[in-house]
Amino acid sequence: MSVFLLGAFLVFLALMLVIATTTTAWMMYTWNTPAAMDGTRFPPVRAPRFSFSLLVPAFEEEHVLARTLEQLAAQQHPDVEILPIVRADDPGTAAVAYELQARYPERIRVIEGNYSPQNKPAAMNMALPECRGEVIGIFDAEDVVHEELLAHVDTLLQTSGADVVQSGVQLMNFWSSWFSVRNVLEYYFYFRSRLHYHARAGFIPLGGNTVFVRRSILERFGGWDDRCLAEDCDLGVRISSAGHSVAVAYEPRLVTREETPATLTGLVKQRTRWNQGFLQVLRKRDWKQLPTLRQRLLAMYTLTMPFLQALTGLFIPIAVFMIVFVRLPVPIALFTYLPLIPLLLTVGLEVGGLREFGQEFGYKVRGRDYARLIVGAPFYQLVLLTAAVRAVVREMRRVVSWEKTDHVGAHLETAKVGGEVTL
Amino acid sequence: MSAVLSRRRHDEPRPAERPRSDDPYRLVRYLSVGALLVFAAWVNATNLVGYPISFEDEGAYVSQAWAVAEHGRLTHYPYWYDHPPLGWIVMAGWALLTDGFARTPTAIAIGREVAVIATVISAWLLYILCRRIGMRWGWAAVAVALFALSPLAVHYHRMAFLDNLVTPWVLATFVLMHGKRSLAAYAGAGICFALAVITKLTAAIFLPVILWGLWRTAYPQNRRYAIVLLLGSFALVGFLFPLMAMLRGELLPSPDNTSLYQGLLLQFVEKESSGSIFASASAARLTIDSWLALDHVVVYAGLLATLPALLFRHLRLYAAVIVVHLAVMARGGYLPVAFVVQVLPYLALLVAGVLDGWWNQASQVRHVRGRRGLVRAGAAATLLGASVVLLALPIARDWPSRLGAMHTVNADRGYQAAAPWIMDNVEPWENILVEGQLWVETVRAGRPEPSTVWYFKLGLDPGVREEFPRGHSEFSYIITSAMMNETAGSAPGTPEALQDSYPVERFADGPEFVEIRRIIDADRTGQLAELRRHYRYPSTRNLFGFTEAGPTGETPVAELPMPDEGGRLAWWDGRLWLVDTEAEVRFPVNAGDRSSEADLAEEQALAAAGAESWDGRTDEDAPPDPPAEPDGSEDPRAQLIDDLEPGDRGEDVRDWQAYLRAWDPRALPEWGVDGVFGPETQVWTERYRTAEASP
Repeated sequence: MSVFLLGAFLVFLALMLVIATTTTAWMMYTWNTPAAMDGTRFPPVRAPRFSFSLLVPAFEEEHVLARTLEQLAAQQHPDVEILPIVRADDPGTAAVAYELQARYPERIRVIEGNYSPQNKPAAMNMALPECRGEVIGIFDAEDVVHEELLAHVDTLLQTSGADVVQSGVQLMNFWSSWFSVRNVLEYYFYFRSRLHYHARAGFIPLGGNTVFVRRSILERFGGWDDRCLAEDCDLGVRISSAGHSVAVAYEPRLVTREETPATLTGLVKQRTRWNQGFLQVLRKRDWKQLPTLRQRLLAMYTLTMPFLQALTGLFIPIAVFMIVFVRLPVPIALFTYLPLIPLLLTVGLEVGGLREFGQEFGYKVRGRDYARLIVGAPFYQLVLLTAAVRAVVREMRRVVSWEKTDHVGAHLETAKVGGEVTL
Repeated sequence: MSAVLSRRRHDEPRPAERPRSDDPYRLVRYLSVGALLVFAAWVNATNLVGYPISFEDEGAYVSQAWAVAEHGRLTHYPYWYDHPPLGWIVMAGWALLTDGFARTPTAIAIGREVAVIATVISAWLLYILCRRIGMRWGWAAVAVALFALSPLAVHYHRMAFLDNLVTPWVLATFVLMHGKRSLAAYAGAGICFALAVITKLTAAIFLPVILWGLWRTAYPQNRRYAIVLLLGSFALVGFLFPLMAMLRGELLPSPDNTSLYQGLLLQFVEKESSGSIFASASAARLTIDSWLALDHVVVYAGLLATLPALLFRHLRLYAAVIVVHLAVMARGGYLPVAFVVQVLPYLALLVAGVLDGWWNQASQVRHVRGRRGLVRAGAAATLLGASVVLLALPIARDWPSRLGAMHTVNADRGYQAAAPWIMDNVEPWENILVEGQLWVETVRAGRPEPSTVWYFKLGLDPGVREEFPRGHSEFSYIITSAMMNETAGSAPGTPEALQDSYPVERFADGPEFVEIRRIIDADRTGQLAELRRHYRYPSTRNLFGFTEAGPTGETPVAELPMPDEGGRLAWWDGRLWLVDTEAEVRFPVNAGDRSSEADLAEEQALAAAGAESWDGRTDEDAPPDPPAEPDGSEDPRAQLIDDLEPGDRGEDVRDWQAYLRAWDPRALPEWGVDGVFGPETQVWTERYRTAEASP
């Protein structure tokens, strides 16, 4: 092995070690001490002080929308308006929304219109001028929302003085398939732990729902970027860059419950969209406005994380192959093993996390679930890798089309992911 | 509910939770503890070259550190997995960082510097540990003083033992399990403990205590993750050692390899037991007695403190350390001399911890109401006072003088003198058998590694056996000491080498002696010819120190037929001597290792039995004298020397070299008869000249 190749390999190993270690550390951030854990909860409820407008973009979701709107209407918070956003070319969903408006006229107000491009940020941008609440909240049509959530969010806005609140979102159905158990735990560690680290560090990619932003900020920003595939992440970056503070809270009782994608294809598509969105946000360079170098580095690191993480997944087989089959000098082979230590620890921690998840949410976790969690690890990494590669390939192709016309590409991609090609 | 549980189960560290800025004594405390650590460093580092005598194992570890630093290999002989390599890799790192092998007065001193640094770090960690489990800073300082200043500790803590490098890792493990008790701390604790175990496997004895500590200290809210992180990082980092064996293809035994499996088997299963610690004359008992002779105060006080310590909740974990170690000792098995090093910090902690506990109870007298509380406080005060007096008296009596002696004697002077002697008097190509200390010392001074052989490897290492098929008789010298004489039995070939040799130089007296012994090359030339040739060299003769005229008062035992001149065996000064009548030189026969009366009687009898036999051999056994022993001018080749000079080549040179070979079969070992008058031929020509010129 030439010296240059060896040097490159050692740098690669060091990078893997850093990525694997920080990933593990952020994954455990919340549990580090009981004090840290207490800091991630909602404070005790105070008298409400804010008014809320809740946006619920819905497209071809007539089966789930009714339940979601009912739950939102049942919020204990006194000052809430709910704005389901529907399209005129989707009459089924619109009918459900109008029916619920009739039942809760004082809380629900349907916003209808054929926004363009046909995606979630455009829908919300259309509804933004109609909002009357001081704080805008976002929910997806299939969300299961706890009735005390807004009361807690109101309190957190008061006590933290933050401009933005992100509350926990949790996939629940770990029992459904081999990948759902890993998908569920990803959410668990992300919303319960990792986001808190980001909030503290001053750079946070927000989640797509159960996020609450002061209306004044959104208006100043001109709403969401409807050309970005990860408008939530983009908003988080812009909010962090503008120096607004974000409060994050996770209370198992209060989290917004969702389901994992039903199929592996769905998972890959969803993950491809997020990854590509992260890439777009990286290229938009809003993060360069972040005040400190530490934040900018964290931003760069976070936005490339999906790809780095996919790389670490690929690293395990590479490392094992190098150790077992390539006759490396012993010290270098041992160094190759080092990044595996945090990666393997992660699997142990996930087992602990699954057990805790079962206890927190009152589900019985069976041996089969643990087995899926452990055995599925390398295959799930393969799924993430596929999504990462797809995202890069798509983004690169789009670069070519972007040079021809400014809007068509973004529109195309978004429309495709939305499930319908409009051309 | 959970709050109640956590109060009951967890050791809430008292002083550590006090806000720091409120503490007016902080500066005083830092300065005092800092001064104590500096003093401890001074006591431990002073005269580390001279005391104690360098120990065989130290030689082994420092030799291995040499192999790492100089050659990038794990060991100087094939690694056989007796210990994991981290300890001497650390020593090698220190040597490389500080240019140690060129800098220190002795090679062993490099390992000892690392040991003392580790000890000072351990002392500091012990202080932090005491504070974190809630002891007052004054008593924490007492624990540090007991740990760092006990003569027993000072004796062992400076030695280049792996045990000294284990101590800071284990202490760090405990330190991390108290204090903030974050998940990061538990992951760190797992890594530290793994590093302890891959420094020396015996550290695994702490595992049950660490598991208990983990369960006791971890917060219930995140205990599951703490367990995963501590045990996971311990196992995964510790796996580096078997992984290394696997990568070297040495995990499982195979006919042509050493293996981890066999190493573990030898160290932990087949290692000879030191006998019961309860038997009066067992090796284990002797080891324990040697500890007590150095300092019985810390050992006895620590053991006694273990019982009351069980009553204090914050000390219970560390009482368990002692209990576990006692159980291992009581089980029998091999008891290394450095075993005590592993428990010293905890003995010191328990003594100071119990006194701290009694101090607490006594000082509560202001707050107690009723007779019971008063009695309790009074009892605590009495126990405290009595213990302090009982501790202080023997410490004041014994420690200063013992430490003073450790600071002044040069117990290692034998080795310190032997190394330069070897460099001055033994040719690089002459093979020698040495202990580990001298191996690294002479190799560092420039001796070639192939001709410098660690005596343990002579019979045990296949490579060495192959290199020296005729065993000890291929060696010119064996350098022995009391330690080598003691362990020779377990090193095949060494007893024979000691028997077939005679002393030519002895450094230091008493148990610290080091003796240079010339091995009689019996196979090749016969004993007497060998002896003769030696004292014909004036230089060698001077070194013997026996050039004075024949002594008076000797008792002739036998006349020996020597080829040219007369010789005899004689008793003088309580020893058996070989006396060369013509040259009037004498030297002792087998002195040093044949001191028992039975042996002497046997030798006398042999000598008396006739001139043809001594030391168990007869002249018939010996091969005939070399064919061309030049004692006149018969051989025309002897004249060649007048015409040749360095740089010449050709048949004449070849003839001359053949003549040299005939004169001494050991001549020209590297190049042989090659027809080139190079440096080697020059050296041997000079030898020939000197020998022939002398009367």
